[in-house]
Amino acid sequence: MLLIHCPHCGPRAQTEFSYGGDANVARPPAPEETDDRTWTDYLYLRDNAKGSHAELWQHIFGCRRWLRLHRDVVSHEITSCSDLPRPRTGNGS
Amino acid sequence: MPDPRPRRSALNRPPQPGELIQERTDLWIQRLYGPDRQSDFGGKLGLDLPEQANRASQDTALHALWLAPREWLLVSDADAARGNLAARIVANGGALSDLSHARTVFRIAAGPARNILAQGCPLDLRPAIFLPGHCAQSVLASVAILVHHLADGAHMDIYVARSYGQYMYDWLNDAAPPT
Repeated sequence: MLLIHCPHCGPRAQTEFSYGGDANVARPPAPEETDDRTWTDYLYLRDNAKGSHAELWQHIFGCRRWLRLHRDVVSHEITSCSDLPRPRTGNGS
Repeated sequence: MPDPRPRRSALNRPPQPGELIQERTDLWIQRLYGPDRQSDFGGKLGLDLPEQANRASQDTALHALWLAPREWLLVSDADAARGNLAARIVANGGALSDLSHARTVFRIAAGPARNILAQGCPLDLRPAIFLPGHCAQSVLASVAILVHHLADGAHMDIYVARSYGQYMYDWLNDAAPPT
């Protein structure tokens, strides 16, 4: 069980959170012009590196905010946890 | 327009007076969203909106419970306490979602409530940590809950989605000490 220090709610159990995947995956800027291999890589292929991993978590049973944290996938030590910046409003581009 | 009809209990058999777990009914419950950037939003409304996480206001006629940055739950059982509050919130750039029909609230004496919640909720509810006037959202038996330790220290209110009311009531009674 991880103890995640939510920047808003304080230390909370992992069961209050939902894992949101790798935090460093970048969506191709123009999906309609992206070839299938690049798109498949974006959707499914992830690095599985040993060591520190940047990942997204949502505090679904708490403040409902999305968080970005760094977790060591070997020791499970969480070295940082911060609020995910809110997306800019507008046309999204 | 508020629904003038009295609200029915969420339970098949509402608790009798004197039972440990009581259901609170006919509450006015709103989720309040504050504007993105505005200092002293609560002051302009004449509301005590706690800025600190996991805190509830001291106003007992109209509770404001911290939910998330710039989000609070407003709870009142007295019409007089709210007046034209909804209109003033909108005029000051806030927004309200009416949850009065969407929540079931259970009131339990604080001492037994700690022991009951500890059987299925990961919150740190020790008396030195979870003090009167605190509130916290968490999970209990797979259901999202909001626990409010009332300022008088004697009771805790537990908010759950109304559709889980019967399940939660049964779970709480199963976890309660035998009488």
